[in-house]
Amino acid sequence: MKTVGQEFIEQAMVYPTNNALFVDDKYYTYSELLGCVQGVYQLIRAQGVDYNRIGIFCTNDLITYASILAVSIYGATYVPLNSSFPSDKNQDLINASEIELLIHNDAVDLSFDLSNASFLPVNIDINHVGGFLDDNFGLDEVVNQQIAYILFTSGTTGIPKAVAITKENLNSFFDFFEENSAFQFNEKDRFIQAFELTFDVSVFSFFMPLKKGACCYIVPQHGFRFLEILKMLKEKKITVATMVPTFLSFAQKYFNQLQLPDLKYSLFIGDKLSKKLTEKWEQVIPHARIINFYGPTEATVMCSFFVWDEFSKNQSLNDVVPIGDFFNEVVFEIINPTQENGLVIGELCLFGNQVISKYLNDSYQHKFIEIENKRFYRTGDLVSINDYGNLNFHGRIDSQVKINGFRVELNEIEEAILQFSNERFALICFENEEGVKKIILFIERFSDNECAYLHNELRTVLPEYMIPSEIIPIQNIPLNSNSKIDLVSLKNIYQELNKKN
Amino acid sequence: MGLDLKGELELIFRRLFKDEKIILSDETTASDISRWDSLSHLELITTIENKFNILFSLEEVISFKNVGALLSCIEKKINE
Repeated sequence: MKTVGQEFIEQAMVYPTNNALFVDDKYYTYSELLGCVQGVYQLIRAQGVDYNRIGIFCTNDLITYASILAVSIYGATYVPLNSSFPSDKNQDLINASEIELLIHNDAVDLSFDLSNASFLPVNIDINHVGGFLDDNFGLDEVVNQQIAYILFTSGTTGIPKAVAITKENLNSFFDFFEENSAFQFNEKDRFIQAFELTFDVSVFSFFMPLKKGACCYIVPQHGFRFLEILKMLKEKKITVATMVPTFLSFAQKYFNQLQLPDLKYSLFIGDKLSKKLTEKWEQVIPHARIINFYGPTEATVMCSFFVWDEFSKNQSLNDVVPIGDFFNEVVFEIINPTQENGLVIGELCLFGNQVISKYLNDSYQHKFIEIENKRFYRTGDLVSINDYGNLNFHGRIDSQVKINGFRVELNEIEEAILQFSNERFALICFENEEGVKKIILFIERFSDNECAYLHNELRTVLPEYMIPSEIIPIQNIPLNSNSKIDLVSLKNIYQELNKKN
Repeated sequence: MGLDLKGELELIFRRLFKDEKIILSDETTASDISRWDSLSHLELITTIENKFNILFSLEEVISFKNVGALLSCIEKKINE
């Protein structure tokens, strides 16, 4: 079984002068990138230890991307750490993933407690790489770790869930694109990589172009991400763009000033895709095929797809575009069905070559269920099947919300708040008319200063996308007749406050 | 005497980012203001457009590298 790293080497042999990567305003050819990858690979080998799990402190630069490929070729598991996360959060992830080595750009000083692991600072001088190869480089993996990567998703108890995706899971995922004639990617394509590397869609956006001899354009982390994406789509004549649907909410204001005739594939994943917005978006991208994907991290990036066209778009329900039909290797079941408005809606469960059957360390066992002797993953997503065999999405069975495509368990934020306050509070996820979602925290007996203090404290323990956009002091949290927090009233209160401002 | 343009903009920033201590300079960028992200940026742009009754093009919005660039664009638009 070839790893994605080995496939990259093959493409570098066939297309050495093609551009492979555009990052920090510079192009790197396949030959140059291969040189960088080999440089990192040799540094790992020079440590004289066989590592099974290697952390990469992701700074979204050449070193980060070369390191991911180097670890893949070496045969170990890569564990990306997000440089924009608070240190404490990254320390927890380092401990949970039990990495043995942590690769980082040597320009960044890190002060994690690695206990038995070591740091590997990397510096690449692009003028001194490229063109040379060890005879055996990439032919065999030094270690043959089954797990390709480990990612963490938000957990209900405040402890993140560790998702270990095997090389087999990953190959099964990529096989779908080889076998399905709807996807004709080639060495002339220009892909955009707009995701943080701790978000699994980056696995597709980064590896897919390199498996094809195509170029991967990295969206800079600084600046305003949605504007940077728009700029890159236009200036770099991107042909394959994978984005979260929230992008459309942001960009719609500028649709009338935008034409992207070079875009061939406009792929969406990560949240509900609005039919109305997609209809406007298709005017901007006259030559592109629009495809809506679905997939939890536990099912390797994407596991179902829906091809949007003039007719199929009418299968949308309540303005939400269907999540479609499953990839060949994925089996699904819908459990605990109930009737609602003539629809049978239940929880989606998944099984197959792409789907994990347990979390690392066997935590959160209740997220899996035995059905006919197979261990299915319970997604927590509510779905129904339409007459065409496509699935429609109806929301969640729990308090998980999606913010810019990131899965957020409100419980995890609640746990963090409890570290700093004993006052009663309530969290709501507010969606405005444009479909942009925000987390709002209401808290009793807090002064404005205390709210500002709490906001700063939360920054030290939670990643940016989990931090409430607003913290609002309130006399009393409203309760409904069952003495539960009245979320509808809170949303109304928030709306009224917004109107006043 | 009314506020100058920078003063007006400062008020908008303080209200939107809920921080009375914000003081703007031409060199201020998003990294100086903790809540100034992708989401709030478009809110900021819309608030400024409504306040001064102007409209920015996509090219202009993309080109704002700091508060100075934003200010000079507002000034140009108001005087158009």
